[in-house]
Amino acid sequence: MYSTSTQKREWTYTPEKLAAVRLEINITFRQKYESVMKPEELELFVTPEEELRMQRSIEDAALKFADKFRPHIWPSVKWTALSFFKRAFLVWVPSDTSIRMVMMACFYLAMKIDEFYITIEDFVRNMNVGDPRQNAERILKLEPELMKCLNYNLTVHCPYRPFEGHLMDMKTRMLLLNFDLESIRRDSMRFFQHALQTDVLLLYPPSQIALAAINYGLHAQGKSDEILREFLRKLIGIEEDSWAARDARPEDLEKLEKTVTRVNQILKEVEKQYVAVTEQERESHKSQLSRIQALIPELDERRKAEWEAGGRIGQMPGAVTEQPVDSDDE
Amino acid sequence: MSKRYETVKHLGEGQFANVYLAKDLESGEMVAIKKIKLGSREEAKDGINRTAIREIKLLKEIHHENIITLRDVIGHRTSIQLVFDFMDTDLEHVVKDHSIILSPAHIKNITMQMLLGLEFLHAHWILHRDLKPNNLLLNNMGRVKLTDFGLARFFGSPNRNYTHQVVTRWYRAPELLYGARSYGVGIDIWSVGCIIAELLLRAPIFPGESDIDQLVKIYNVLGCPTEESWPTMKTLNSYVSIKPDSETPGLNFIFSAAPQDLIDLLIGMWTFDPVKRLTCTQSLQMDYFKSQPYCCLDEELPLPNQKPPKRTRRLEEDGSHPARRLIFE
Amino acid sequence: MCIIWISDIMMPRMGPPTTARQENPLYLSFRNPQWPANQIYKENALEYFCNQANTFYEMNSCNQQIIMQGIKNRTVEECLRNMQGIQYVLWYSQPPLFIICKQRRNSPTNVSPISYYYIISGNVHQAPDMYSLIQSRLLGALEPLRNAFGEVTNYSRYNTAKGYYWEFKNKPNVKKRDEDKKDDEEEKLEERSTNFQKTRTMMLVNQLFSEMPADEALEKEEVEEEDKKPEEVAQPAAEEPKFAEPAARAQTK
Repeated sequence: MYSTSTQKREWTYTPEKLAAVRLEINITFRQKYESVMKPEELELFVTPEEELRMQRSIEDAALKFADKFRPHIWPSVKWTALSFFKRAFLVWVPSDTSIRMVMMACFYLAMKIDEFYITIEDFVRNMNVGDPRQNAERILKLEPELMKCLNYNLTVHCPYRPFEGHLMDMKTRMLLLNFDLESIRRDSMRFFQHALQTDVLLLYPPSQIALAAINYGLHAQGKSDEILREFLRKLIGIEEDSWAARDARPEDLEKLEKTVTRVNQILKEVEKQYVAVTEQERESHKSQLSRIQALIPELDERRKAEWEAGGRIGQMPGAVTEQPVDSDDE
Repeated sequence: MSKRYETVKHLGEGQFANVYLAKDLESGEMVAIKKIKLGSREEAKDGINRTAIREIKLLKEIHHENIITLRDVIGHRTSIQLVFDFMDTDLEHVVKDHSIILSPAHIKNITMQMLLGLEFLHAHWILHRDLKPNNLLLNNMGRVKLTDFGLARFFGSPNRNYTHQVVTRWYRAPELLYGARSYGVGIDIWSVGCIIAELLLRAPIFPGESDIDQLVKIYNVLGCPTEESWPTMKTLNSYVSIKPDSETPGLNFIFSAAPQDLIDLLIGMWTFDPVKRLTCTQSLQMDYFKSQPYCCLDEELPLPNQKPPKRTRRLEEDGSHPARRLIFE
Repeated sequence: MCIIWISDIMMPRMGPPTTARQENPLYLSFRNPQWPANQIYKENALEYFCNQANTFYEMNSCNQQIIMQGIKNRTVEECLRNMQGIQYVLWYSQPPLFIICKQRRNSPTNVSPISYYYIISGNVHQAPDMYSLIQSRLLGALEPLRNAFGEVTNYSRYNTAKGYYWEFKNKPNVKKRDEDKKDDEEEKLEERSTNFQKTRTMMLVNQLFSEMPADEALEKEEVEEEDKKPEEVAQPAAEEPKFAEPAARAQTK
């Protein structure tokens, strides 16, 4: 249930908070390697904004991957996978990971969560880059790391269920509408697709995102906000007959206005944030990332050398605190 | 085990996992660590076990005193370990230990704890789908907790079909036996009814040897459902018409020492039509929980392999305990 | 001499609260026709008693719980010792008599007996409490007495001349009265008064004198009967018991 979920408690932010977190992890990464980098290498560091664009690149590619995936995956799988992805990059930085593989791992994990059964082999068969065995190996290695990074909060609440619910509700309650509500479905789905490439799922509850999708769909069919308003009035319990509306409670009217405002806010956010990734950008990200990732092993070596030179104080840099494998593992 | 937990001993083995008693070196408390088995090579190569993922996904979202707490997760490439509160025993051991006699007050307490945990679960849109005495853990403070969420799932999404191969057969509701692909909280309530009956009789009440035999055993006790009592029965996937072996003797005869209000509760929980079956909340409102003898205290529940606790409380004149955890309107 | 209020004995007593029973359990009994009475032994007497059809047996008792839960690895007594609530135990056995005690167990060492039942030749009865027993015996003793008194009262007569006497002839009362009047008239002619009248009158007068002692006031009133003022009469009379005045006045009439 969303209201008591870890999604609401732990993984919902304000735009400011979100920016702050991204800045923080960016700086931490920078500080890790700055000391051992040569001046010309320093340009490999990217800003948080660029990192976000990198994420968008990958998200864009991922959605294409999802649409081509066979067997067909449910929308909730996509949403869950991208939720994991976005959350993961509030802990990790793109430069420090194999960002494509992380996305794949997010999808694989999302399928397990959503009870969409698939074997690893069938999964990697859908990947058109790299050796299947290696891909499988890397995904399976990332799986537990990803879960830990998400703090094992694996339940994700998607907007599709509330969307269906609201739609059904509208059909039932608004009988005077001489308009087929089903016609908004395509546009609403497109809205969700765009929304997935923004931060809205880290900012707003799924049922409100669903309302935004409905409103988007209605707008696309040439309807005004009035239908949404009418629906919300019915939901909240305000009479639409203006005579009886005088008796409506102020809290209810306030709720109505707040909701409408929020819905439009979401619409604007999506509109603003959804900036399609250009081919040029994609290429530039790719090369940027591959360069820094190629450098990292060497940077780690340099850090180790520095540590040794400094008398081996503290823990060896880059030492992964790997949990010891149990002796009674079967 | 990781450095935080020190294994003490092996506690038991289940279908999917091995359970160990360990000490949490950080807090000093005893914990139970469930190491999910790798399973067959087929399953193992798919990465982290799906059952484990199901448990993590659900248990991380909910917290209730009658539901097992997932304290920690230790994930490796090859295996995953779930760290739970340590619970001394389970209801199956209590039922099987004939040196324990369950008094009406004990049974009322256990039933209430079960229903409170389940009510919370259902209110959060989760079905357990595997309730049985084995999955009701009991600690030495007398706290009952639901465990084993390997088969549990969120429910309520329209148009989602579920598998009917859930719940251990003896505790399976008739709609599942008839192959229903869409069901709800009723299946858990049916299981609770079977568990209460097992507390009363100290033996499973419907020990079917096959799906059909399971239905026969149910009908022998409760009689056959009719068109009137369960209108949608015939629309189920695997519906077959079954006649019971013999005349039903009636619940009052079978549960000879049980008070009428408990019989009424069982009748409500064993209603054939899932729509008419009691929900957790309705069950907790029944007169059974408001009447004497009242629930005993958690600490008074008998545990296996133990002497009965010294009674430090004196009874009231008419034999009742001071009431606790009453649910009154 | 203790005074027994007959009315008390005749009224039903409100006994200690029991489970709702329309009839007095002391009048009920149970028998299991399918169990021959001569096959009840010390070992199975309790089992004979613990029967659903037996109204004395409560189905929510500890005994029935043990049966329902199928506990067979210990004796019933041992199980009962560790349970709390209503239980039935075999108290005494001397075939064909067995006594079962219904008790409330509060702890392994503390029980409160509630009632006893005895089985005689397969019939189960509730043992009466002391009160009912004494009440019953007293009733048995007193009922005949009461009847006797009632009967005898019919034969007592009173006659102003003769006083009280018994008349045991079976003649209706009315006729007797006529006869008495005749007797009175007859006797009056012959004597002034009977012995009975003399002694009785004397006794009454003496009694009155002792209750209202004579003094000067008496003489005064004899003379000034018409003129007496209430105050004058009241003054001396004030020191005497209230009823003295009207009586004194009566004397003078």
